[in-house]
Amino acid sequence: MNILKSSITFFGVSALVIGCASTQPSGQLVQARQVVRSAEMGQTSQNAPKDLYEAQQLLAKAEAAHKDDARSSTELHYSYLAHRKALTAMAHSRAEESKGMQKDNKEAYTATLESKAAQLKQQNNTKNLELVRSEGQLEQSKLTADLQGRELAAANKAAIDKQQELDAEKAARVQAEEKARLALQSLQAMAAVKTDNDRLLITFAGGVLFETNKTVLLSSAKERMRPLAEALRNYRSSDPIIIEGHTDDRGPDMHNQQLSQARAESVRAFLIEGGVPPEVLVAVGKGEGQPVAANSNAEGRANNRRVEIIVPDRHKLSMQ
Amino acid sequence: MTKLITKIVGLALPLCLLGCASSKPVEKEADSKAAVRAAEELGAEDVPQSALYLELAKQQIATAEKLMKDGEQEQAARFLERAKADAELAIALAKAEDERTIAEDTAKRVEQIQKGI
Repeated sequence: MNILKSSITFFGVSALVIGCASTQPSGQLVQARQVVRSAEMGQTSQNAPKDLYEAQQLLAKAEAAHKDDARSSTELHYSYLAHRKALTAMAHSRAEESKGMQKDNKEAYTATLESKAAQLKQQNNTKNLELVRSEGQLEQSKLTADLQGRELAAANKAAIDKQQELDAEKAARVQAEEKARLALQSLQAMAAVKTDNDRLLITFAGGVLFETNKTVLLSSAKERMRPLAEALRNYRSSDPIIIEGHTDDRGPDMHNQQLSQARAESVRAFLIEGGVPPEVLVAVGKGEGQPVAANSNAEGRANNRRVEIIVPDRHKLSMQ
Repeated sequence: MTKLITKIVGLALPLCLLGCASSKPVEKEADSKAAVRAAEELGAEDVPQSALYLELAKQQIATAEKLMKDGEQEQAARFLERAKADAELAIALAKAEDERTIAEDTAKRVEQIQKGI
């Protein structure tokens, strides 16, 4: 504040001092010349040409006044104005320089921001790429999982198919069993069917199969025996089916023996004709030796005249 | 308002009567005062360099007003011219300081952003 006051006093006093008779330039004029010169040397002529020109004009007026009347109040006045105008010109010039720096800084700022943004974008892109890659891997593992799933499904389907096959087989077996059962049932209409453990014993009354003293099967008997042939068609065993012929006690033994043998053979032939393998069929004539009833009456004798078919394993009947 | 008008008329009338058309102290007074106000609005009082010239301008305006009262119109006109030159220098210095500060700030920001992130 003291400096301010003293400066004011200095400027004020010098301004008010009115020149003496000396030809020496006033301190004001000297100062004005120096400031205008330094303004001319710097950037001011470019940044504030109008201000500099005005300062030069004012200095010229001061010089003219000095020539005219050294240290006159006019010299001091124009020196003062020239001095201030030159300082103003320099201040304007500095302001312009600062503005230029501001512009450069702003550009640098923007450029830096942009490069940072580009850098960030690059980083982002890299991250995105990584993301895409990991997504790709995910897709891959999904595909693998899909493939495994499909294999599993195929395996499941195979299992189901197998099961269905088994089911079908079972159904077929059930069907075959049913068929055999039906065959036996139809047999029962014309023959006595008995089971003894695994064995099946089928007894045909002789009168149903043959005419008296004949060995040719009646056509009605053939019709009735056909289901039996079908049931035995797939019979496979080392233990053969035995077909036994039996007679009553009337007539000679030898004749009865031959008659029972021939009738058994006749039944066997019919079964072979119906598809039963010959190797599982054995025909035996038993004659009158194994009666199942008394030969003393007609009913007993009728029961004794018979053909028995002995199936060793009845379970094999159901097999197709 | 009426006071101002009478003042202006009061000042202008003697000038017109004297017939000095080249230097009109009233106009010069208005010019220099306007420059002082502009300097004050720019905050010249807070900038040490420009505060000096602003103060000078004010003092010279005060001196000019006294001279005008004493009828020293020519002298007063010169004081007002110098006051205007001082006020304009104060404005220029304040502006230059402003621009310098802004330039510094922007430079700092550039430095910060280059360091940062």
